[in-house]
Amino acid sequence: MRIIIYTLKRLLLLIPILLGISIITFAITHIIPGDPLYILLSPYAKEDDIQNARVELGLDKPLYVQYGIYLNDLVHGDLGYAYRTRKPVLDDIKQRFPATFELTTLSLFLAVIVGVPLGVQAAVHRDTWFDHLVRIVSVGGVSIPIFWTGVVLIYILYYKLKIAPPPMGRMGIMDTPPDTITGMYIMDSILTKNWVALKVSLKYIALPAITLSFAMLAPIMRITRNSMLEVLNSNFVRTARSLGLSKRTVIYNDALRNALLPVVTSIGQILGWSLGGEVLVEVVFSWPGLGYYAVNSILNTDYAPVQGFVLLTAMIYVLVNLAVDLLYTVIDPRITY
Amino acid sequence: MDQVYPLKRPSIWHVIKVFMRRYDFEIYLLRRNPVTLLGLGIIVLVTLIAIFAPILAPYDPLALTSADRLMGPSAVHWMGTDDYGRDILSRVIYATRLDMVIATSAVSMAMFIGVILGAVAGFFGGIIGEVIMRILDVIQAFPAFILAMALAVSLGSGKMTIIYVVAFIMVPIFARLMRSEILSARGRGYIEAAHCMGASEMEIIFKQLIPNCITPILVQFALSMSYAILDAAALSFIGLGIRPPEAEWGSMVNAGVGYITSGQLWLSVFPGLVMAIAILGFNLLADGMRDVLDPKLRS
Repeated sequence: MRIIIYTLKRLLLLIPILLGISIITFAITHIIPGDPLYILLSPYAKEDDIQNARVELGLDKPLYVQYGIYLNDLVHGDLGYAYRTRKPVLDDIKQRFPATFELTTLSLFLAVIVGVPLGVQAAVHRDTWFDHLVRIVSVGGVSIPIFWTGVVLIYILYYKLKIAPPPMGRMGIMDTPPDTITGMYIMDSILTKNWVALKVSLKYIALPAITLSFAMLAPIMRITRNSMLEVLNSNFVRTARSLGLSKRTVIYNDALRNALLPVVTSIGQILGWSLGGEVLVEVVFSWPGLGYYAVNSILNTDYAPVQGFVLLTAMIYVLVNLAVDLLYTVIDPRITY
Repeated sequence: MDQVYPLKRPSIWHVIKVFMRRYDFEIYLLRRNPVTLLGLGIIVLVTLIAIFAPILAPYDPLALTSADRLMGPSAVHWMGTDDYGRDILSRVIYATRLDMVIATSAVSMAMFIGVILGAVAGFFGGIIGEVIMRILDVIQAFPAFILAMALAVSLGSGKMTIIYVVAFIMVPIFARLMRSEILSARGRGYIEAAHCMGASEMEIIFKQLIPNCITPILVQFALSMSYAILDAAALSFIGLGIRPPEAEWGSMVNAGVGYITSGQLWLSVFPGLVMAIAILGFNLLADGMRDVLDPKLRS
């Protein structure tokens, strides 16, 4: 019961945050220096046409009225119109979301299955060469720009060793994508039992996913190590050991479970951080997801898609953080709200 | 007769020495930690490169030599030349200057604004504090880089845009840190003593609280420098920050991306490598400083 009330409370608190987000995304197009109409219309537009367009788009009204209109559109699922693709922004986003979702989840999965065990081992073998190696890798992971990692991987694996496909999106021109069910190529290939498509899509996603997961790996390893160190020094671990349980059992059954809480907490933040990295990886690999879409729209001075993209990522980020907070109680029964 | 000791004005060196003595133990710990010293060394080196860029650069970073297009690294051009025949080493050196200026200005600005906001929010609390914290909440509701992108779009490209944008997304970090420090320091005896001596609230904030809470802020400064460099370069990489032909790490990497699949690695790899080393320096320093300041993590 308490958890339901807490959830409701958190959802209510979300409203001012979402309003704040919408104010900022609204401001993106309204603090642009110069008149947005000059971007939309041809430089030869007559004064009359400019006036007509201004009235038509509602740009002659005061700012708060324009914000009201914007908010009303948002509530009705209207994110504006993308002039570059000649489609509503929402349709474009729907079409590209699966590619981004697929890449992010796969990278996060990779980062967790590699990062957590490495962090645990580093804590167990504290101050040995292994611990130092993990530390170097994790400092390196946050220091090396993600777009540079991508570039170097492309050079080594595609140009030199020729084992990776070119960085040209989700599939080659000659490959047929699987029938669309979820829009995620890996899922769709499995669901339609299209093994050829599965192989190709795995090949194409491998490099971007490794690049992105390398950046996520560092914080996960580091947090796992630090929280594991704290837990390993605690009384219940010593008790478990003195009761004769093997080191392995104690580490993986007792200690790790207690050490995971900060790791789960940080996943929300890591995701927020990686949403930025995602944009860069998508640009490097021409991955046709949301970030690539947003950047291409920026380069073509088409701002409605950027607005929609920023709004959507902020909302996802807020919701993921809420979900992580709620997940606490499930993982750690000691926490009650 | 009693000896009379004239009250001498202390020399500046004495003041510095006394000030540094507060950090004696920390300095001792730093000296024991070679990795942190490495970080410090990298930062000093990068700063020197940034300051002396015009002397160090062997060529004009903007000079086009079409005969020397896309030459690999050699004795003449250590890092090779780009698609316009410009010397990459010279461009990397000038980029170091530009990026360091951007990062330092942005983080200083964020620290200045953040510290004041955080101090006010922490000291006064109440409605002012609540309003400040809720605004920071909204800023932090965005993934930082995405917000930076959005702001850069609306402000237009350029050096000042990057500085403002990167500063803006970093203000909440400093403000929150400062606020929590102030909250824990507010009840201490020395604040009460200052009150009793008739210090005004502003005097207490600026003369007592901020100086006493500044150490974690300094660690955050080093850490934020690394993020600032990354964000600034990333903005230029996607075409939002510094526009070509001006040399900037991120835009240089971007300019070379198209040549990777044909094997001309040096266009991208050197700017990125130098950038990574600079970021590494700040991360190592921040890491070491954190270990020094947080006794729980000390081995």
